[in-house]
Amino acid sequence: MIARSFWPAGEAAQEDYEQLRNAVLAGVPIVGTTADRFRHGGLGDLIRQRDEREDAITEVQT
Amino acid sequence: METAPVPDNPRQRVLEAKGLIHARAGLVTASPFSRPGQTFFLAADKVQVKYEMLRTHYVDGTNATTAASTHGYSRAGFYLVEGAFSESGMIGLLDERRGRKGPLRVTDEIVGFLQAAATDRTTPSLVTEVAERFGVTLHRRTIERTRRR
Repeated sequence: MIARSFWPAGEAAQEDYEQLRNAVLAGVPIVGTTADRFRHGGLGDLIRQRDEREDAITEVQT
Repeated sequence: METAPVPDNPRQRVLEAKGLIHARAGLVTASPFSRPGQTFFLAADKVQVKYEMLRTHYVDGTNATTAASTHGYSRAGFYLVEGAFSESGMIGLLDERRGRKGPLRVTDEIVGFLQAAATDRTTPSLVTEVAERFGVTLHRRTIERTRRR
């Protein structure tokens, strides 16, 4: 078992979410593909998107 | 058990289709979710609620019991979510199990096969060959980890 610490944000999906979260709480409209992705499927979609991207990078490097 | 509200927006419909609706959304009382007029924090979004529950504990310093109860979870549930994150990171917040699709674990025979495979073999080709030889569909990361052992 790998023990990961929750904070500070250590993953791309977590950083994406925190950026959106900070913007929303600051009253700044969220725009862009990450925001669109979140609006579509919530945090789960952000996590999957980043995970699939990492898989694709792994594939290219193989 | 509380039932989730009927989906009335596209995000909620997507979450429902993916089985990611928080079954106790009605019990979520944490402040971000109860801010009027906002749509970012959605109590029905189980993954977001789990994340926010951990966040309020680790970042805001809320104790585990309160963090759990204000997000519609029991204390035991909190520790399950925490454990999943600790083990797998953000992907651990999804309920799905990734990777292996077959019922078998990576057997010694499969490990031997992968470690004996030529180093220039691509991972996708090994995924295919393992499936054909052993009837087990492995995730490419599993194969890569096994080869590095």
